Amino acid sequence: MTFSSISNLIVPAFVMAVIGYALFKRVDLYAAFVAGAKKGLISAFNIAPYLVAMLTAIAVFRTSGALGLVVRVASPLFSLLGIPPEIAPLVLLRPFSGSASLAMLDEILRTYGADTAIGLLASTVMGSSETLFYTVAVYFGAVGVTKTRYTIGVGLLAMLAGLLAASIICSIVF
Amino acid sequence: MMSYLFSAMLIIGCAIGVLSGHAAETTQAAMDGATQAIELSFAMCGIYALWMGIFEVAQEAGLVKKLSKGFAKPLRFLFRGVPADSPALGYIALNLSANMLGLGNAATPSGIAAMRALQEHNRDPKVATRAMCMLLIVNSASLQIIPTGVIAVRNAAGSQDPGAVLLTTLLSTLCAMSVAIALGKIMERT
Repeated sequence: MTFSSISNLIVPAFVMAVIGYALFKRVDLYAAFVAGAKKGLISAFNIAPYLVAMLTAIAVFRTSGALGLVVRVASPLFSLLGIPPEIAPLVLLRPFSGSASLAMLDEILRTYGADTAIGLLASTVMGSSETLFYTVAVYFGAVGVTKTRYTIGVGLLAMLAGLLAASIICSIVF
Repeated sequence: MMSYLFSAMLIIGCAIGVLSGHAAETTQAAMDGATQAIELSFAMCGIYALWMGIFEVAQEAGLVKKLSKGFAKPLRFLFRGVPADSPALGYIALNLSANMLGLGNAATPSGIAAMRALQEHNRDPKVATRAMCMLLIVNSASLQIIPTGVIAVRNAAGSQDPGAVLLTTLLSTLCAMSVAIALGKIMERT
């Protein structure tokens, strides 16, 4: 767990460096902080309606069984690509929800074992992909952009590339 | 794109929910999803305010500009069209490094700060600029040096070696990021 303790140190070190440097530069620190915090609050409020749209759609899609249906249809495709179909639920859940896909990873690790080929591949896939739809809703929502152009298409293709790479790399390394 | 995605998920979800006899659960899920979004927004208010307060201090002190100078070369290539003196580049550098180190809580506020700075150079505020698309694309396929969440879950699931996937994750994200940047650059020409 040494790696997570390193990342635990990064945040306090960063805050100390910024505040220390600003003191040295004689910046009106308190006023600047409050002005920035106000922007943060405005952003959070701007994001809220976008998040309502996205999280509602995701919840409906998951709970209705639609996502499960997609998993069932996609599983044979995974075998075709040489990827164990056991990780299909994780891969398909990943772009929608970070917490749900972490829970799915936990389930896979407990079912198949964390240090088995499936467990190691599932961990790699989880670590090398992002919650694309959530991130798009938050980032574009913060500035009120609704026309996201090619972002989602490229993001999904990159995720597919990462998945294929993970399955090849894991079969070589492990 | 967002309109299609949103309506497809809702229509398919509702149809399957009704047809499979899960209409009540689906309705409940919609309410829960909306509630969760607002709860999350409230929880994020404090975190965003805190981080963006600190970023503002960093910007006033000139640190954000220093950061953008340090990463000038790769940033100029990826985010062509963003003025060199824009604080956006500094926030982007901060966002990408926080992402690589698995600092999710700090990564999002710097990304939002970057989006706000990019929006100032946007002619049509409803339409994403190339730089905005590129920021999201590199974010969705970011190099992962420390996958903090995964290591924690592996540890909890009783792994003998939770960090065993560090190398494979780094290599996989390297592939994903190369593809992402190449595709993003191709799409910029359209």
